[in-house]
Amino acid sequence: MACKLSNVCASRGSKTVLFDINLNVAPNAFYGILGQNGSGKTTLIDILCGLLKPDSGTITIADKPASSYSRRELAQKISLVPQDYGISFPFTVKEIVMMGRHPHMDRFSTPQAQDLDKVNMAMTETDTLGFANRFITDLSGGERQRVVFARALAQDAPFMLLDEPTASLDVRHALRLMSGVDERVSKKGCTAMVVLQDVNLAARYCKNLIFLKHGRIIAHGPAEDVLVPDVLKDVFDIDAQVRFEPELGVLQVIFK
Amino acid sequence: MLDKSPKPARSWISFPAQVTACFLLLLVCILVSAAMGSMRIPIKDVATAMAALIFDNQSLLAGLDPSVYAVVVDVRLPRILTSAWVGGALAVSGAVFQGILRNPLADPYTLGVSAGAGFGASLALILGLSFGGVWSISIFAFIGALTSLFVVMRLSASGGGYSSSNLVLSGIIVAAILSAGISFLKHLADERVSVIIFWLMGSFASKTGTDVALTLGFGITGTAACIIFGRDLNCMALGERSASSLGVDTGKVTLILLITASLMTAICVAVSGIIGFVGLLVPHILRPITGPDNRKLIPASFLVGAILLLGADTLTRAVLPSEVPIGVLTALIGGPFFCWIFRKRLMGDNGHGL
Repeated sequence: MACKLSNVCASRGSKTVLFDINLNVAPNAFYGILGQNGSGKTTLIDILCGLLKPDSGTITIADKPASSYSRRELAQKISLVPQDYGISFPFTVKEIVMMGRHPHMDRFSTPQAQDLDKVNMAMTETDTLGFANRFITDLSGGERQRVVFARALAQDAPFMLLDEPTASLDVRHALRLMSGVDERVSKKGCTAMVVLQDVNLAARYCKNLIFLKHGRIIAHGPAEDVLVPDVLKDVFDIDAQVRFEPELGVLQVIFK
Repeated sequence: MLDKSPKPARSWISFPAQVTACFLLLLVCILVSAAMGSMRIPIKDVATAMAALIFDNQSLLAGLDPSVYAVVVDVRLPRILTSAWVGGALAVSGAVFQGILRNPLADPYTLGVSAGAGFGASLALILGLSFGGVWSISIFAFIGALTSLFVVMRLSASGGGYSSSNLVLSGIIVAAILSAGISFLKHLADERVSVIIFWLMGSFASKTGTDVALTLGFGITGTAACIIFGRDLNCMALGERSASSLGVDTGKVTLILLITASLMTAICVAVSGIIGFVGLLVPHILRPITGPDNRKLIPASFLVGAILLLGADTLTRAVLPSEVPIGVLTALIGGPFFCWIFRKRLMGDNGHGL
């Protein structure tokens, strides 16, 4: 699903955090968003999934202006794995994942076979079936994050937005999550955009990288073009070396 | 579904069975309560009188003391039914406030909504605006409830969420101002002050069929409206961003549900004064049994709220040696319970919530 941002500016409260963003999100691609804390990554995600209205500029989703979609229609097209996943009441894990089907179910209908299938698949994929009936409030941070990812998978949207989805995951589950997203992109034609702190995890999976600094896109393009020491120096103010890993066929960064 | 983990503890009986059991228990409570009081009436006679009322068939009353029918149908039933419907409506509005504000300490009483409704209603009483009877008091109560809710939410809003401490503090501040306002109204009221005092403490004495119809009408309609948005309310437990990303129009749902819950509270306050803690207590008792799913929690709250407040009113009407105002009784029982929840949350794993 294609998506286009032209001259988008956005603010949080009275502070402008995104300046003049121009971005063409190609269908069937895997984007990584990198940048320092406070560089506007989460705001860019919020703009894309319609949670925040831009101050100026236009957003087009699948050739139609974003404002022409209802919340429910947007939710059928775009899923979000947010950074904050505090859940106030003791719902079971299964109930939480089932909420991912909310935009696909009529107000009074009960879950159909198709909904149950999608939920079951999402839970298998995220390794959460083992605690399907436990209360979400009793789980660890990492387990909770996997449940939230499972909910987004059950939502089954062609465009997935993930805001630091691996922040509290162990290495094994972080890799599993990223390859799960990768599989949706390469085999099911989804588009994914992931905010990450781990440059190497991004380099390992995301074919395209977007670097943000002070609310502007500094560099944007295929990883082999933009993942260079100069950009890393500019964005993170660090000295680094970029190496090609022939075994994986990807770039990896060594920090000096 | 291939699932090896054990079933959650709460599903020991199915939800339809839970609701049926509560409904039957409510019917039994109504029957038993109607039999109790200064004049003892056998349950069999109560049932006969009610059957005659329901089926509109006076011939059933043959052989029954005529005073029995009058006591049951004209005196006791209006009071019993009003207390039940008020209990149900207060419990539902408590569950809805807790769901929307994502906060188990929210209820019409702790949020200052009851105090706002009380102030509005006192104002109506003192201005002598009894042109529409209970209706004019209801309208003033509703305006007061909405205004104080709005002020409390504006006071406590910070970065999209409503923290427990901010909400409870704001509720206390607003309720304190309003109670000073109510005192001022009492001061102005002179000889009419006793009307306000007795009404504020809450009472179901001398209720009429109008009160029954009013509370049942708004109670059932409001509860139904809340159940319709039950699944949206469930998603909102995930936070506003997540709920929006799942297609919930959070602004619209919040507005509709807050107005519905405030209206239900205002009607209850207008009919029977300020009765606290029912809205806090009932959803808390029920959540471990029905689970937090609002499509189950809300209807169950209505039934259990009805049973509890009917029980409390029967206690003060027919068991205690002299009648304690119902608002005082529920505060005496509910207050310590509030302390217990507060303490448990403070000690619990998510201590950051308070």
